[in-house]
Amino acid sequence: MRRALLSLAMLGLLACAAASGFMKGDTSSIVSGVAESTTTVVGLTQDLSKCDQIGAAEVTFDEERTIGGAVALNWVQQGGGLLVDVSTADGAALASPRTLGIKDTPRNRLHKYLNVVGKNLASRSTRPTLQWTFGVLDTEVVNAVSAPGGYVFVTRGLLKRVSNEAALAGVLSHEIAHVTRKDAFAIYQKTKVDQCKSLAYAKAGQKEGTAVLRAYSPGFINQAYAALQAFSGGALDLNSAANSALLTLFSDEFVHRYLEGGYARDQEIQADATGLEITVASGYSPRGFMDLIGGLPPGQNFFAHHPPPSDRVASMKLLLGKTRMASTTASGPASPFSPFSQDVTQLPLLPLHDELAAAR
Amino acid sequence: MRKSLGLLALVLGAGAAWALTPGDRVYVRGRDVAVLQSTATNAATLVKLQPGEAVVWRGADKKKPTWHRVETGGKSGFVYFANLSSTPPASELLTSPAGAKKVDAQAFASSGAAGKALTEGAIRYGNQDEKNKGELRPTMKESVRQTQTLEAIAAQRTDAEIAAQADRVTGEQR
Repeated sequence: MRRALLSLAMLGLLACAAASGFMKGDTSSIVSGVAESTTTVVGLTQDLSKCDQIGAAEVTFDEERTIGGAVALNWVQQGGGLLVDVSTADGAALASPRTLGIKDTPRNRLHKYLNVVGKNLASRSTRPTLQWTFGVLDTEVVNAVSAPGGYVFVTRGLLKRVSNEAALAGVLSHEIAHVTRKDAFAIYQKTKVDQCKSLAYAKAGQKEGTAVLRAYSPGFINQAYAALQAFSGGALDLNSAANSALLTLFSDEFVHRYLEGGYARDQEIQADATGLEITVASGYSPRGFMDLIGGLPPGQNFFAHHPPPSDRVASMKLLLGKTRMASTTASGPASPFSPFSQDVTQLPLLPLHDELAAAR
Repeated sequence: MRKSLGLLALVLGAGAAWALTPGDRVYVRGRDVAVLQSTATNAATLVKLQPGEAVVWRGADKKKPTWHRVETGGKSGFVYFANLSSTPPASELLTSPAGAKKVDAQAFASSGAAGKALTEGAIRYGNQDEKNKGELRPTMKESVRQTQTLEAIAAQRTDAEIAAQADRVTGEQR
């Protein structure tokens, strides 16, 4: 926990506060009362317009995977590292995941099991063909978190609370749902625009920008600004070396904002619903996840940003009851494939594999 | 109670009404989903389908309504209902020289983009000196190596392993 708090504090220093309150979306307002040359004002207006273009463009998968990878690295570091025995291969071999040699150790076998469970669940999601990756973070904090592009992490502390595979499946499915629903995009898109505008203000010498980006060096800001200048519309290629400073600006602030506020309450409730559907469609009893959530103290660790456990369990019970009823009444035609249309009380909890039990 | 109803409205808000008729196109969810010759537990597998594949729906079996008859590739057989979906998987937006292009899940799976591990941009992000100056452990560089190892473990899971897991979980229903 101390590590998590320390990490959060460090991120605050690095990424600075969100710029709410002084980010100007209306580009016409910036010129009033400011003693600047016309050239600067025109340049700033153009830059701010580019920021709006960047924010308006739909996020491509390539962008999602790159920002997701950067965010995932933050979760790994913040979470005390992964419970894996790393490969000693060189960089080229590491970049070829399908052929990289993996040590046969208990920790790696744990991850093999976790990924089989997770990939089976993900194959029943609306994004079955992503390169899904499931990992265990080496921390006692009770936590689960995802990153765009298909990264899902659970903590060792959470695994200690999981007593059957259905509960584990519920947790993984909830995080899968955040990825398939692209819940992070709401935070990310706003982050992009705000950071971009901070950059434009900073280059124009306005404190709105310099204050927000004070943790970054002038050289870094110049590099990021050059990338902004080069942007000519369309998809933003964050994977290119020329845009690496922008990737850092966006990733750092995304992580900061997520740790500060998490997802919206309705996003969490929806992720519970979608996750429950994936869990049940895969053949697990929903009871495992509901019992796990119901047993959590309100506001503990990662779950501090979630609705109270009692509300979450209540909404899931309502969902189960209502959808089952809908399949047998005239209130509307239910999908013949709804996994809730069967008697879910008959579905199994399934014991955990030895690999996971040993890791706890 | 009002609060509970609000939650229910939230979870069902995106719900849609389905009115399927025999002959409609439906989609597979799950990996290596078996199309069986009959609804019997030991029935022969006619073909195995992958996520997002479209099949023609003919309706639920009268005796075993959790099994639905479908047609695919000139074959007719039965699929467990939870392995079907009324809606196709989400499309993905890929970058191409001509601009961003939406592709369906099948095209995405065969595009190469689907198999992407940690991107060069993300690796560069984790390896930059500024990210590796603090005392936090693991370092970002170590986090990159750990994540790449994890991605290899994930990428090397085979369709057969995942299908076996699916059978293990759902076996009791059949």
